[in-house]
Amino acid sequence: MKGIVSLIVVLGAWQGAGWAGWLNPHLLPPPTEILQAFRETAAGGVLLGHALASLNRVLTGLFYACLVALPLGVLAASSRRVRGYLQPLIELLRPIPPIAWIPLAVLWFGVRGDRASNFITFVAAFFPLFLHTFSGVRHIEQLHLNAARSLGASRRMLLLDVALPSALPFIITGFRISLGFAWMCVIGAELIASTSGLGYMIEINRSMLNTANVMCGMITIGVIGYLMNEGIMLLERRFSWRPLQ
Amino acid sequence: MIRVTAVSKQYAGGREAALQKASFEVRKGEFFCVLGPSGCGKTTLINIIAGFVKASSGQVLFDGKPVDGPCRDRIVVFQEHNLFDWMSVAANVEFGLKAKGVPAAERCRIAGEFIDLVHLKGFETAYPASLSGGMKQRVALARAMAVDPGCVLMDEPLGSLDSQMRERLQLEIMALWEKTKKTILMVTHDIEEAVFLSDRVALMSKAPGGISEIVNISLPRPRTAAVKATPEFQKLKRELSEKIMGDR
Repeated sequence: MKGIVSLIVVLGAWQGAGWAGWLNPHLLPPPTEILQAFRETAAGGVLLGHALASLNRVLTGLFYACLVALPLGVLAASSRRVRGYLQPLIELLRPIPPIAWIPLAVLWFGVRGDRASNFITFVAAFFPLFLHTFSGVRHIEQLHLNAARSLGASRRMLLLDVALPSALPFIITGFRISLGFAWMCVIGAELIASTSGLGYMIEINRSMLNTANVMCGMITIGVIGYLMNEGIMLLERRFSWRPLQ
Repeated sequence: MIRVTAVSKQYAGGREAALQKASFEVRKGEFFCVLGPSGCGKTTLINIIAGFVKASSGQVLFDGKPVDGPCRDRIVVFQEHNLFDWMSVAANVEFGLKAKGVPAAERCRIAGEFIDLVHLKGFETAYPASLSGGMKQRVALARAMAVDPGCVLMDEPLGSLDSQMRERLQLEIMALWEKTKKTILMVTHDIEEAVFLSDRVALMSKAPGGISEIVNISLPRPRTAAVKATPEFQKLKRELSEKIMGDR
């Protein structure tokens, strides 16, 4: 309720300032103009097309990140040797922001098509997923492992019935963080290395000084990011076997 | 069935040995208790027999074969419940059967039987988080018994329960033992519990732990809670208590 009040006050003041002529509409168009921009871009399917292009890249990157990070995380957590080989590599690569990979991605994959952006979302999604899977599997209680071993569990059962379900709450949290991170980074990648997507849309409209469309794109990015996060939080609650206390 | 010969354990970095030349034998079908004060190395002993920990010296034979690593013929029930929190009661009890390769329908039937035996009928689909401490320990007992092990090792299985729940579960463990005829090796610090349940009690001395004496408990079977009020029971309890105190 209070949130709605503050939203209305800010929007009202913004609109009022626009009507009073205090704002340069090229720098900060009033809400009505942004609304108009929404109507125009949505009507032609332009907004939806860009949004879907961005989403597609995020999901593709996330998919490949899952494919690589989940097995690697389990492996690194369960084998001291693999951990020894992987850890320094991961710790060196991790501090490099995914955005910093963009120039390299452009060189490797070009600006046309999805591959450069897919690569960036992969890099963004990989690390949180890997680290959460790793610590999830590492945190399996010795008690559970002993019980499973004494009951005669094979390696396959140890992995599928004990390690993974026990780590699942961690993995889903990692998935949520990866998704959010990939979403932020895909916009960055599209600003530079793409010819479609919401990032491209706000950049191209900036160059044409179409500020209302820029802000319309920004708001869409925010709303989609918010919805994705909420969706996974639902999933998190559903799959969290830890007693909620 | 289980033959422990001069088993000692010295943990790396530990000043004293956790276990000093423990020797005893558990017979097939017997209820055997190891009684001793906390910190005398009882848990170490169980872990060695279970195969989780290697002895520094000495030997443990199980059915004539040396123990190397855990095995479903020697299932352990721990003090803290260690149920799989992400599985229902039924799935927990079925776990060992699944590991054994028992087909699903058969698993379900056997699990149901043991869940019934520990009086948890109706809780098959419940998750451990929603059960009380006593109920969790019952599930752990059912899970251990369901795989039809050669013997069950119990490490203070009732240690974390209140005294009323303890007494109820003592009766249930006794009933399970009488029904399944399993060999049970239980470790406890509770004298009354040891006397009530056991055929024989091994007394363990304080750190470094070794077996100082083995006492026959010749109370008639089947036993009920009423046996605790008999003079024979009280006499045995007093005897054991004096021996343990005298040891300190």
